[in-house]
Amino acid sequence: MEEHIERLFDLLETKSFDTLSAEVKSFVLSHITEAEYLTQRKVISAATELDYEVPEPLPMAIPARQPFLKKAIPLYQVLIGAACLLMSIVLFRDDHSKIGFDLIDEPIAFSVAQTPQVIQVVHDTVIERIPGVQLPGRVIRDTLTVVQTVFTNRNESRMLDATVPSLTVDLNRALLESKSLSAKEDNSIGLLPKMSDFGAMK
Amino acid sequence: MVQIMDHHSHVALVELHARYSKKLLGYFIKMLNRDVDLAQDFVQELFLKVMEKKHLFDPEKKFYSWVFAIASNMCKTAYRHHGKTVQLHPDLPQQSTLGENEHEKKLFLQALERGIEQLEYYHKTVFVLRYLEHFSLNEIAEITESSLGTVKSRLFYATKKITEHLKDFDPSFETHLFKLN
Repeated sequence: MEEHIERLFDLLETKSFDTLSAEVKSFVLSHITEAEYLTQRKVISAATELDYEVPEPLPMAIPARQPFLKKAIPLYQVLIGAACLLMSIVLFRDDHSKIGFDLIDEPIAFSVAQTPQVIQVVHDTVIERIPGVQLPGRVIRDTLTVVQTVFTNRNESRMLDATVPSLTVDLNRALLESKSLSAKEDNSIGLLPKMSDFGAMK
Repeated sequence: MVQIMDHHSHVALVELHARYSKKLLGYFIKMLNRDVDLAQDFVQELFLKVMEKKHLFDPEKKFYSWVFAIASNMCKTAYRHHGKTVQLHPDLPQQSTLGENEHEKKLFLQALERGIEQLEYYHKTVFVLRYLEHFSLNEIAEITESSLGTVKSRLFYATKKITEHLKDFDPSFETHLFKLN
């Protein structure tokens, strides 16, 4: 059918009805009447004579380029952007920062860390001299640092707390700073009872 | 020219407008039932589309085919949204009052124009492109993005539908007034 239509169209454009052969006429008349053929030919020929008055076109109005910030953003782009922002917040949210309350049945145990308390720092330096070699300065082989600490356990529950940190520090410092004297140099030796007095008492 | 547009958009666009705007305006006037104002707007809009969609142009094809394809799509949208049709003139002259003269020819052309305006979009597009804008069948196939057979078929049915509005005219006066071949 489509091929017949195409053939009919070709005939309409190129040949008048009178010039058609008998065979072609019968083909045409099997689809349309002679009057229709003539009228369609007339339409084609008359169409070229139709007069459409065409005025001069308006000059081209080129719109000025808008700055980026003044450009209108389509609504769908705004919605897509908002959806992406919301998804990123949901997906990458830090769970640790979530505020919540967990109720537990067991009593809470508090403990205080045992922190060492520095009471004295002793620095010692080992200096080695190499015989026969005169060096511009001393050769420091090693440096020792001794830290003396006292551990206090605050977690122990005692009836009386014997280890008061401030007192312990003072006492230790006093012991370290005190010098022992020989009996000859000690003036207080005279206050002690003499050994001969013990014999008289017998 | 479209390649030049990449670097000198405004200058090239003005040049394209100078070359094709009148032909496009005529096409729009015919497709939009002589609505000149709307046709002028369509021409302006078309060249803005050309500037925006210049990257879609295939350099192997003819530029005016591409431009007319855009124009046809614009008309298609207009038909879809506004239903661009006009009422058939009620006082179509009767055959008995007509003679084989220029007056009859004028009446026939008026009726023919109304018949064209009554066509559906697809039939009207091929008819206007073929018989009013004088494009070849292959060019129409390219513009309408359809096969040659489809173009011929649409043209046949377009003329057939127009003849339905012209039944009152005597087909015999063809030889006197309209010469074809």
